[in-house]
Amino acid sequence: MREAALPVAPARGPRLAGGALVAAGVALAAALAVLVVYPSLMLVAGSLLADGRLTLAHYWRTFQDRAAVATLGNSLVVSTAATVLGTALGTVLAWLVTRTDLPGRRHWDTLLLLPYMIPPFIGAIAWVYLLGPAGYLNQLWMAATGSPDPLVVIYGPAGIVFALTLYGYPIVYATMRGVLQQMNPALEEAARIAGATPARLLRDVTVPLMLPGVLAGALLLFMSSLANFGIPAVIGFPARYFVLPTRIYRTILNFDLPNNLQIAAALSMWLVAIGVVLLFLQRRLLRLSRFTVVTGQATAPSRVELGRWATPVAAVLGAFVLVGAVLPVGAMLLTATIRAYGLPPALENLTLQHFETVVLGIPKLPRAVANSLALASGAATIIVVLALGIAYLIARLRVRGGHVLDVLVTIPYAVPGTVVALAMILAWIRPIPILGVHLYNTIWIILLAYVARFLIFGVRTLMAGLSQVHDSLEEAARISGAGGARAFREITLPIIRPSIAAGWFLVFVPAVTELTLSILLFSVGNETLGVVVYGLHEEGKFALAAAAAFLATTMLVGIHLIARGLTQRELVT
Amino acid sequence: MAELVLEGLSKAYGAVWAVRDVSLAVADGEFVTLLGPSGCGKTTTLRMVAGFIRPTAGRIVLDGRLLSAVEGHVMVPPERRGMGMVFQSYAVWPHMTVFDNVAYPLRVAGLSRHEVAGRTTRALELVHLEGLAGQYPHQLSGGQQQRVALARALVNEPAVLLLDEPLSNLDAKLREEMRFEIQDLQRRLRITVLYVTHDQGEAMVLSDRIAVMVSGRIVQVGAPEELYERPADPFVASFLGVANFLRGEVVGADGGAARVRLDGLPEADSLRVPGAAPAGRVLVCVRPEALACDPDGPLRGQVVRRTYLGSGLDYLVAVGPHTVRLAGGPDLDLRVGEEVRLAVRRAVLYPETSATTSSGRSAT
Amino acid sequence: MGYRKLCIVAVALGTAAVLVVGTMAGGAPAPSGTITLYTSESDDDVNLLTRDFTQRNPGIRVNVFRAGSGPVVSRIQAELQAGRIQADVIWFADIDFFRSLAQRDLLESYSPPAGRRAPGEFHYDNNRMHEVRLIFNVVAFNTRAVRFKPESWWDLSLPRYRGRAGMPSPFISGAAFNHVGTFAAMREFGWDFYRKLRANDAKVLNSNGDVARALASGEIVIAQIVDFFVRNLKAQGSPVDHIWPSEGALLIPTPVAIIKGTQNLEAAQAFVNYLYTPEAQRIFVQRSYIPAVRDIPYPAGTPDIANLRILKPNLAFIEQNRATIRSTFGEIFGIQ
Repeated sequence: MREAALPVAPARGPRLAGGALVAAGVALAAALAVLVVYPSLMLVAGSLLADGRLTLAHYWRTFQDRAAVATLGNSLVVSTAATVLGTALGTVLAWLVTRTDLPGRRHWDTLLLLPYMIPPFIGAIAWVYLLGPAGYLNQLWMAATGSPDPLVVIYGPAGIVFALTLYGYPIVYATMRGVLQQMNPALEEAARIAGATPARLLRDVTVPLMLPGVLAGALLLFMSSLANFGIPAVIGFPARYFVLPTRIYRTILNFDLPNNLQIAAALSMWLVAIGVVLLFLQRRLLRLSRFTVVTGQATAPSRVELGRWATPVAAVLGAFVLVGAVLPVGAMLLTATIRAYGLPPALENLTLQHFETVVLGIPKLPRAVANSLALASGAATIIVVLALGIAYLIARLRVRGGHVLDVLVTIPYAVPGTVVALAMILAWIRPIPILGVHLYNTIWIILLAYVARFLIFGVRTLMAGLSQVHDSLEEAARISGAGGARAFREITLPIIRPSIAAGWFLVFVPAVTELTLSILLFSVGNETLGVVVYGLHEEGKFALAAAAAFLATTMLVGIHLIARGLTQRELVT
Repeated sequence: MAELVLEGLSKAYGAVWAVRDVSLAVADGEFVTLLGPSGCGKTTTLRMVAGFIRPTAGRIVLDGRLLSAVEGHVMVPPERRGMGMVFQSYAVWPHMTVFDNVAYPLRVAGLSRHEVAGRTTRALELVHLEGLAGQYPHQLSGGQQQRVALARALVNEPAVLLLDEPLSNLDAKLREEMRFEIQDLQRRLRITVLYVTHDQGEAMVLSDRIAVMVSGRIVQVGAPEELYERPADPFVASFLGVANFLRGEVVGADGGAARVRLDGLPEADSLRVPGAAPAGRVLVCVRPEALACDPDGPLRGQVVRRTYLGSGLDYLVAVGPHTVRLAGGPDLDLRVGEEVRLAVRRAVLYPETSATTSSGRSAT
Repeated sequence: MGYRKLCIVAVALGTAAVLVVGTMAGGAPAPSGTITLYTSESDDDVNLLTRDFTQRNPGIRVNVFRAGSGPVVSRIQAELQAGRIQADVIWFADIDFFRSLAQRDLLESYSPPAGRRAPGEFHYDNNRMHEVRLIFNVVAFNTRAVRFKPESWWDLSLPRYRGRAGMPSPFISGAAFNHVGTFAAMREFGWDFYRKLRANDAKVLNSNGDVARALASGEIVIAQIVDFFVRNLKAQGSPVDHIWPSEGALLIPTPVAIIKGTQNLEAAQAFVNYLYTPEAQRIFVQRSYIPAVRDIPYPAGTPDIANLRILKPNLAFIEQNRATIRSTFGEIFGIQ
């Protein structure tokens, strides 16, 4: 009787939330299937099919290919070295900027991200301009000392590691900066008070606390180094040092080898396998140390006083920025201002002619810039939205099997861009069934490829951001009367805004000058900046290419500064 | 009026029951505490009440309104339960000022700007944070953040206030201060409170009634004195305050009291424990303050440790094979090694089998 | 505008009208529609040609996918695997790849009327592909670093150029592959030539563009490279030049072909035919290429082709020994 008398609250709330959740999940799954899963499946299927039959023959072939095994070894060597160096560098720099009283921290923050804004293929060429056998620095050295031999030649594995490290450390830096900023210093202080020496503190508290961020950044850096084609191609080839991506590219071009694309796919699967194994290792390690860094207890960030170390540290950072950013950009600028490539950089040979030509004389360049900006901001925005959904499913709702998504997102990032582009062509050359929409030869296929390729950046950054925010913050909003969506919008979203911005930035920057995907997928009117700049270089218009590359880098830096200015002003108020 | 009723509330994670068949009624304006060691299911129970966890079985009813029932799939979401909650981690929002944090429930409820301002200010006054409205949480101390959380939970005058270990992150002095402040607020606002803690002192000071939970079940519900003086089992006895447990055997009864011979002691030194007694082997539970130095006392012992506490002294006394703690007033001055005779003023007997729960030793 | 100018315009318009009506009256409508061209020709060249072509054939639009031959070959392979090549016309310097397509019967046979003025040897494989202008692999050098003008291919193996001689990789560049395949089978060169180059620490770089960059910078001072890269750099003012080697310059076929099953065969044929017309041939000359058609004057500074020793690629040998050529070269130079 009593039950009948109970006024049952309408079940609208949870059902609706559940329904919306299911709908969002379905939409997300569909989008992911379209973007990532389908082309990736084409890739996996390709590696397993010969003349329409299922077979492991291609894998068998790759195992027997001694050169492939050797290049894989080389790949692992340079990628591991670059990852160790880049991770150490990125972490230390992030700590210096976020957790010490280093003067001018805000400016360092911008300067230290500069190397990431130099596209990898342009950076590699710039280093050849500087430290090739006839590079500017070597010429300077030979002129100054009278030595017939260059000082250092960049060609070879050490040069590859150097270039990969410089390009890649900002990935770790950007991740760690967020982690360190949000890390509760009380956790460290508590350990100090508990009697921990600074060394113990580092070992017992700081390192474990930073571990998720460090591992996430290191894994991204490792996979990006492993799949990089441009840097080893430019710096490794002249020294006969080859890595797996260059071997894969050779296999793609080796058209008289039967099933060469399938074999290339099988070779790429090695890279995927390595990435996935590391992903699981990372998760194992992190499961041992699950914690939340941002709780509902707010604390003011504490900073270590550098004292008399401030000046030496600033000097080291300055030298670092000089090497990492100023030198390569300067090499581009110098190459762009010399009348003809190969003339000595003497005053009478200098001209601004090439800049004029680039700005006014290449009709498709403005269009390419507009395309690239639209594609990059579009891809970054789509990725942030998708990644928010994925991260929420995995990190907050802890949906079972959510980690499968994680693996699927990894595939298009772990393999060379050329392979992703080929998979995109295979997937979308025919109109989409039912809809009848043609993607191939439109700008949309490039957008899809970018989203698939860079989705991992969004997922990683937002997972890191979201898993650092304690559940109770959102729950406090729920109990205060806000619905699930509103609590997410008004509480979680503003708190993880730094992660959103970081993810957006990590995608936007490389997407603006993306080359390997675009060069296979572009069509008339849909050229991208990377395609045009690389085209100029490839046709032997080195000065024009350098001028365009310089302007592109400057543009990225400008965009970054404006964006920073906007967000910082907002933070101050 | 706000009466909260839990009926047969259970929560299973796979094969593991985090909460099992919890029934509890919290009367209007009553302060009830769920007390238990960590992992006993008290927080899970609270979170089911809040609506963050969907129960596996049972119902939650607030003022006759069904909030949650497995049959019929009723599950009112947290935002529609009209409750306030204070989290262990405070959960103050770092991106909002103190004022905005506290005003949030009012804004969500769609109150006018004027009303929001007035009620937020009053709530801040209630927790003595008037001057800090414009500050951001990271500019506040832990205690101040806790007050923000409290003001936010109270600002919309919830029917029920839920508190999840709200004081566990504060230092001892602040904890005591906040304890009284919470009590004071509750009495002034006459609000129904469900409070979760593992700290028995906190529970004793604050609660009208305490529900002790072990392994997902409520083992005893009652007023603090009742729980302390008549714990339902040795675990409750040991969890609330200090208790000496002495093993022995009931050897007879006389005049409404049982005679218990303690293990390893002669029958001549048997204790007299008033009240109905089980037969056979028993566990005698004696609070340290229920022991007294008495030249005629049945127990002969020797002082092995003496601890000065300021307000009194704490002795450890060896009685045959047993060791007991004895609370002495400032006037009772014994030296280590001194022979004493002890009398038992009050004791509770449990059949020995019931001592198999988590603790049979004296808890400090 | 003066009276005379008006007259000229009127006459011109009239002639045009007559011509248009004439062709229409002739029954065959002018080809129209869109064709897609995949090419690795330089942007400037392709732009000039397609602009001129569309002016002359206003009904036809040419979509150009221009990239290095690597991406073009990759893209065609992927399209082929997914069904059908999406291009109507393809044009780049990898005749071996063209022939592999021809063997699979993917190229349309066509005899362009304007092409009859070019030697028959420039129409390969039963008119399935066509040479429309000539480029050569030559010996190039850095004029700031090299004092003695080279004369022979063997100069690349001279001790004074130790570690400073270079060539593009046959694994990346179709032109370089042709070169290796042809030289390997020649009695005066053979694999020995490459072993000597390896012994002289000659550098194998990526593409012709890379070789051009290394040569102009002085990183290498002597190179095997396609001639027009050198001419273009020289025209810009870079310190590079090339010679016509005494043993002969190697003709690098850069065929144009129509894809079988194109949706717009007539327009595709019109484009291929156009490339042989005097207008197009003059554009080639203007861009300092040697034209394929006989009676067009050569670009300034080019020796008469009659005086040049020209080596023809050994297509038969290449086709039969593709795998060996690659593996032997890879072994000699240690390329993985």
